Amino acid sequence: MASISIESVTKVYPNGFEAVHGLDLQVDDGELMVVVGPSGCGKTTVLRMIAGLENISSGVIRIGDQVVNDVPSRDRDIAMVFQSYALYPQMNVAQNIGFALKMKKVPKAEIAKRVKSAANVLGISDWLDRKPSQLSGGQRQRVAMGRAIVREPNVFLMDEPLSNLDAKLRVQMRAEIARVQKRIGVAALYVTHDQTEAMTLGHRVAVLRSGVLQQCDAPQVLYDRPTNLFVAGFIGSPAMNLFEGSLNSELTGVALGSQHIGLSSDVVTLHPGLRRFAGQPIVVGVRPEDLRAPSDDRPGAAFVGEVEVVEALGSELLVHFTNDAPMVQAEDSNATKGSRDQDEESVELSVDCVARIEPRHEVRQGDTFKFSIDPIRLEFFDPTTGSAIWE
Amino acid sequence: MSRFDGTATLSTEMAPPKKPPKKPPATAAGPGLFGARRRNKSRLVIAIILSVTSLGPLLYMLSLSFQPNGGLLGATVLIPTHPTVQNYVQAWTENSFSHYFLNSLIVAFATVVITVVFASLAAFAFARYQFPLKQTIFYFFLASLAVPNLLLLIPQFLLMDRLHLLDSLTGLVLLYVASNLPFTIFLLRGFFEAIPKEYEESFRLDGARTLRVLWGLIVPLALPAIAVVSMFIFSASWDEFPVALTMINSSQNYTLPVGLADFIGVHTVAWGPFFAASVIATVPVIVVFLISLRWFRSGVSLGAIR
Repeated sequence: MASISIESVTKVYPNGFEAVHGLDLQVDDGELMVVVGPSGCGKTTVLRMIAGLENISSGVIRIGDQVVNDVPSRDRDIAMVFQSYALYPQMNVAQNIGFALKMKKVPKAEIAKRVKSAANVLGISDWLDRKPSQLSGGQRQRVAMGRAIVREPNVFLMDEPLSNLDAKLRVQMRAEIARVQKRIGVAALYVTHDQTEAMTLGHRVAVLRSGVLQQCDAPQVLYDRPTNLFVAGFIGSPAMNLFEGSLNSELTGVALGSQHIGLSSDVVTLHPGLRRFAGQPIVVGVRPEDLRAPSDDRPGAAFVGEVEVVEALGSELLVHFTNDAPMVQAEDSNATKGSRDQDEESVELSVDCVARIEPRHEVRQGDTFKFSIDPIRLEFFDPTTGSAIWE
Repeated sequence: MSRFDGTATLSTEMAPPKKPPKKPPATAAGPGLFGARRRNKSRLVIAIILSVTSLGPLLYMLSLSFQPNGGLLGATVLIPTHPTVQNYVQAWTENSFSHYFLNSLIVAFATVVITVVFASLAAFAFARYQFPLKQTIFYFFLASLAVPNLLLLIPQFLLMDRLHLLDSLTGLVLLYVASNLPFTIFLLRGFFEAIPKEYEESFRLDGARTLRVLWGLIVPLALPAIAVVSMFIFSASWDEFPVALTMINSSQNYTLPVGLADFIGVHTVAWGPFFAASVIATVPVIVVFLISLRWFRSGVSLGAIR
């Protein structure tokens, strides 16, 4: 058991592409750290550098107290779950799970015992004689996990292990991974592009963008206090609505298009940094759940929009609406992820804003709907640097 | 004019069997039943012609080997009227034929094993590592494929002479390995490269060293390809004649093809035993082929290992 510490690690590929830039990250023993970011942000490179599958251009990686920069993969005692699982096709499930132990020259009886117990934990005891090609995606995933837990590694690495599963199985296996990680209790690094996985699994989440660490904190902190526009747009689904607004000079309100949201003195107390932006443009962020349907017991500032689409999810309604408040599309935010294959960091025009309201409200397409915003829930960002405005 | 038309029609009729058209003829109004049936028929005709041309001599050989007293070369009856196995007995017992058979078996198996081991090592390096002059060296290997083996006969003879390996099975194996290596490396490299890298990475993380990766992972995964090349190498070295004839002098070191040639005397040819020996000589190749046949099929679906 050991912690992982990454100190000012940089990775430059031979073609000059800098995949990771001056990364500092510490994963404590027993902690599950999730590295999340859009594709091409360097998260997998980080994982591969820890595993020793990729050289480090500069910096130091330690596992426990040992600097492992030049230690070959096989001597790092790392278990890794690959995106493709990489189960050895020529071996059956039991051989797959026991292979690392065989390499460690563990006695055969001991291997059989440990394989059996790992298989029991994961509920795969019935398939030990099968070849990987005879297993379903979910079963393969379990075998890959079994391979990792049986060897009681120093460090546990996972590279998008759920991306090949269907949605239902993914939720199920997510819980399984959390359980397994807790059981083996070692430092674990989990890489994903899915912010839901990151939020639900990670004790802490590191958000990476273009090889630069944006923020590393507990999931709730990332959600409540994103450090910049990128994190604000990336964490949360649907993504945070970001508007170009302008703060009035008395700090009593912010204009979003033709609409005006009044700000109480509490808001300025919470965000003292707002004083620097008096009378200036500012980016205002609102989480979809903070755009409520108006109700008597929760007073708030009114925000009107024309409803474009209503998505009824049963437990909630996602109301897509537009108004004349100009929107800011955070780069690589969730809203654009689907359509973006390469790591193009362009600012795109947003389609609409999203509100998440309770299902009992009657909202129809074409309606002009009056949402209610509690100003204390607003987030503010510097429009030039993108940083969140707090102090 | 009509004559010309006739030949023109004939040529279009004849064209499809030689080269099955990829597109259906424009006149056929789409890929209709009729067009498909005609294509199938022409395929059948080609198949029959090819099987007759390749199986015919084989059957003739088989037939003659059972003809009493060597039969007559001009025999037109395929099924012998008085079949006998005397030729086989004679072939196996005279002329140390069984000894040649054993020599050939040793040479062929040794060639297969040594070639596959060395080619796997080289192909693995070409497939997975970066080193200076990698492509140049690889092209150098490929270029050697373009040199006809017969051209090398004299240099090889001189080389073997200097190495004191003339008239020895070891020397013969060495030459066969050398001539089979380039093609085998070329073929295995392609297969090795198709194996997803993650398997190898996972293997290394599980504690395997490089050679273990090769023999424990890459080779088992490429087994279909290895079975196929093994078959090629086996039949090539089993059948090889000119090099063996040049390098081997003493009859105790004769391989089968050279031994077979021994049946052909200066004045007389014992046709019956000769054909019986030929039949025996084809058996191992057929056996090896049948064993590797199942790999031919799975070799095609190597991509399924994902």
